[in-house]
Formats: sequence, structure tokens, C-alpha cells
Amino acid sequence: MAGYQDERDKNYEVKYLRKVLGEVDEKIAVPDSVRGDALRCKLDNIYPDVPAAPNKKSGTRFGLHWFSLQSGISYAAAFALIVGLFYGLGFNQQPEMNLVERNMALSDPNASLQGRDTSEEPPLLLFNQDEDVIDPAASGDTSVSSPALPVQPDGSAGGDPFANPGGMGGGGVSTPLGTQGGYTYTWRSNDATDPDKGEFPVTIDIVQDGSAVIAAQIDIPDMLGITDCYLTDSSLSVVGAGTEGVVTRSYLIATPWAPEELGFTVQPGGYISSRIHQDVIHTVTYCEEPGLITCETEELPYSVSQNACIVAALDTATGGTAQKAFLGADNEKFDLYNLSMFISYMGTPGEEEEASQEEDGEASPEAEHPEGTAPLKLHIAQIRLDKTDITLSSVS
Amino acid sequence: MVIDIKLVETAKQGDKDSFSRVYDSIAPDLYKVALYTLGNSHDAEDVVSEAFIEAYKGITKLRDPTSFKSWMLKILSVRCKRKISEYIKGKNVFDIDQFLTTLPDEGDVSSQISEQVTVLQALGRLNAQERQIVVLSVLQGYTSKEISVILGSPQGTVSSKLHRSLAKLKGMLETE
Repeated sequence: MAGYQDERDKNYEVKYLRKVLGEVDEKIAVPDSVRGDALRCKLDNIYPDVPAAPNKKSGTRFGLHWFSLQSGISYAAAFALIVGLFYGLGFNQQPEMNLVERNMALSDPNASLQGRDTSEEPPLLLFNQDEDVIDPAASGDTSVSSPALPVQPDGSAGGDPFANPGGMGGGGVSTPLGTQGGYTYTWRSNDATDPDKGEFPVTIDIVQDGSAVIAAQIDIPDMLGITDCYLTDSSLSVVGAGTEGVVTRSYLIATPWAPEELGFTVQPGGYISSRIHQDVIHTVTYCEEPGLITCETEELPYSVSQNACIVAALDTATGGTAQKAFLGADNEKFDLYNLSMFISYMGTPGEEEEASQEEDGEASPEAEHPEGTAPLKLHIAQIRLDKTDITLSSVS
Repeated sequence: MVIDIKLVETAKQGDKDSFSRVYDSIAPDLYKVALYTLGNSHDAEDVVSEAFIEAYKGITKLRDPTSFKSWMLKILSVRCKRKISEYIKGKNVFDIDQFLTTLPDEGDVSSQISEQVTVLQALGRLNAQERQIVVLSVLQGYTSKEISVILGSPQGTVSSKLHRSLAKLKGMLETE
């Protein structure tokens, strides 16, 4: 290591490392398996080239003929419409096209979404009523505000919480999120194979009530589906699974035709639950890969698990965010409330308990189980949720 | 190494050949960063090929074509993180033999090789993230700020980790 000593004297650690590692680096053989040609084949398997649709160019004569026919039909339809309106032939007596107003009491802390009774209403908004008609009244579950949203982690609803029962590839069917200020909010998942829509997996449409005109669209780049939605007077927030974990996004909708992004959080792990209280959304995930955690962490006392419970806060009034991971959670139980959440997990017996057992003359767990196989005890950690402050309060 | 901006632009339109070609220009660097980070060629190959697929899938999101390499490194970093998280259960070992087997013996002076082995051993005693930061800084020449973007960590964290890692390496090499 004489070379290193020389360089060290000149305080050239970095230069020395660069020199030695550079020599190693130059000689590292890059395997063929990571070359572009080899990986190109994988791309072909995953994303096969779709043959271009034959270009149906028609001859000039046919084109003109078709143009004339199309124009003729258009003119005839327009004429019929004008005449109909003029003579009051009942065009305005048609049933509402498809938009059904749904008021959502989303600020209610007892439920992530509450829809009013829709038992006497026609089916929910569906652009294509031939496919997957969603009717909560028919299913008898009117407490559920949206077909896609309320699959809660208590397992009562079961199934994949991120499933989109209404959303069809390519935006065929939209799923309503709620109605606010004369606008209806719906979401749809886009077909990834569709080159026009694959860029954004999820799109939220803001539709003006009555006219059914889409006032604005929100493309969400990092969400694969929406599982929870919170609609307040001024903000629309959605929670859903993304490529990097669970994503919570909030948008300012004071001007629904020009929504603005307020803020977002991305947290690793699987979705557990979310809740809004005083304009702050708390989202909870359970992560079995602590290596993915990049936020602030705190260890749960006495825990034996290496997994984590991650709590994220998103203030829908200010856009402020916070995130904290509690290491040692083991998916025993999670209870999320307005001001607190409770994490139940198995761990070694607490010190106080051991001491009391020794005072009582009872053998300590270690004495009974000398090889560190003491029975695990259930611990419950209380996490205080004060807006975007997330703190471990106590463990019992 | 210069990134062909035109190739990136055509790759953004979904052209697989362009994407493969522009990827090829940085593939060695990606593989080496992965190898130093993960310590074995099998995992390095895995994460690089995963990053390749993921990058093609999301290349339309790349706004600045000139940052193609750092964008790819960012994707690679996420993949490495996932792989590292698997090591927590299965204890990752930095396998120096895998580096040495890739080194041709001809023309190498034995003292030079032993020096390289010593440095690799010291590097192997760092954890995976520390190695990644050292390699991005020392070999790839990225600044702390650029590394913080690639790793998605605060710049201060990266700076302090780099400083600590270099100090650790210094300490280990001095004792040799």
C-alpha cells in the first residue's frame, strides 16, 4: 500500500481511488446480456410491434361520393334538429343523457366517501352502458360512494383495493368520483397499449353538469388506479397505487376548468387505509422492503419485525406534506382515526413487564427461555396525527 | 460518451431501435454502477435489464433528452434499492472474485492487482448505498447535487454519506 500512503500524504484519497478503481473499471467486461441488442428482444416480447392499420385511402371518385353522402346526412340531421326545436317536437323531453348528480359528504371523518341515497336514481354515469353497468342500489350497498373507492382495508369488501371495476382500457368506461359545484368528476384508466393514451395510466375528467362537456382533464402519470377520493369545496384528492408505491395527489378545483396541482406524496408498500380530517389526508401503507424507504424513520420499541408502517400526510389546504416510517410493524393490525392511528405488532416483552415479573418472584422470560425464544407479546403503538405532524406518542 | 439527442427524441416516439442504440452508449456505465453497488454480476445484470425495460416504458416522461444518462441512472438506482432490500433478508456479499474474474491476467503486474484487490475489499465493506455514492462520485464524476437527484435523496444526506464513506475507505486502506 505504498502507493496509497504516498497519495494519502497529499490528501488525494479521491484521486487515488479514481486511479485504482479506474484501472479495475476499464477491465470489467460488460456481459452481452446487458447490451442493447440482447435487451431489444425482450422489448419485442413485452411490447410487440402492432402492425399499422391499413390506410383506407379511397379513390377520388369514391371519396367525393362519400364526402357528398356524409355532408348530405349532416345537413339533413342539422335541418331536422332545427325544425324539431322550432316546433317543439320533444327533444328537450329526453331523459338526462347520463350524468347523475351525486353529492358527497367527503369531509365526514367517519367515512372516506359518503354518497347520498341513490336508490331512486337511475344508474350512475356510464358512457358505454353496454359494458359493466355499475349500480350500487342494485347491489344494496348505498353507503359506498363510488364503486371503485370504498374497498376498505378492514377486508369487509375484499378483493383488490386498487381494482377498477368500472374503468376499461382505453377509457371505455368512467367511474364517478363525485359532484361539486356543478361539475362531475370521473376517472378512467387508459389502455397502456394505446399509443395515444399509454403515457398517462389514469385520467380524471371534469364534466360540466347538464351540458356533459368535459371542462378539463387531469392526467395522472404515476397512478395505476384510484381507490380513494376526497372532494372538498376547493380541492379534489385521490389515492391510488402507483409504480413506486401508493400515491396521494391533491388538486385545487376552485376553478374546475383549470385545476392546479396542490401537492402529492409517494410512499412505498401496500395500501392499508386513508382518511381526511381537517383538510389533511393521512395515507397508511405497509412495506416489507425497508430498503425502499427514504423518508424519516422511527423504530417501534420491542419490535422484532423488519418491516415498516408508513404514514403520509397531505394538507389539501396548503399542499404541505410529511411522511414517516415506523420500523418494526408486522401487519398485525392498523387502525387509522382522525387524530391518532394505532399500530399493533408483536415484540419482545417490555422492560417494565420483565422487572415486575422479577419483583413478583416469577421467572423472567429469558430464564424460562434461555436461548432467546421468549414468547412475543402484542404491543400497540399510538401515533399522534396533528395535521402534518406525525409522532410516536406511546407504546402499551 | 456523448448522448445522441436525436436518437433519444425518436426513442421517445416509441422507436425501439433508437432506444436500444442510445441505451447501448451508456450500458457499460450502467452495468458497472450496478456491479459496484450490488457486488455481483448476476444481480447487476438483472437490475440493468429491468431498468432497460422500465426506461423504455417511461421514456415519454423524459423531458430533457440531454439528461438521458442521469435519468437512466435514477431508474437503475430504484431497481438497485429493491434488490438491496432483498439482501436484508438474505445478506448480500460483495464478491470480489466476480470482479477479478473479469480482469484479464495478461500484462498485469501482481502488485498492481493486489492494490486493486485491497481497494475492492475496502469498498466491499461499505454498504451498498455507500458504494453506489462513491462510484457515482469517484468513477462517474457526478457532483453531490447530481447524485442526490439520481438517488432521490437530499443533497446534504448524499454529501455527508460520501464524506463518511471516503473517511471509512481511508481508514480501512491505512490499516492495510
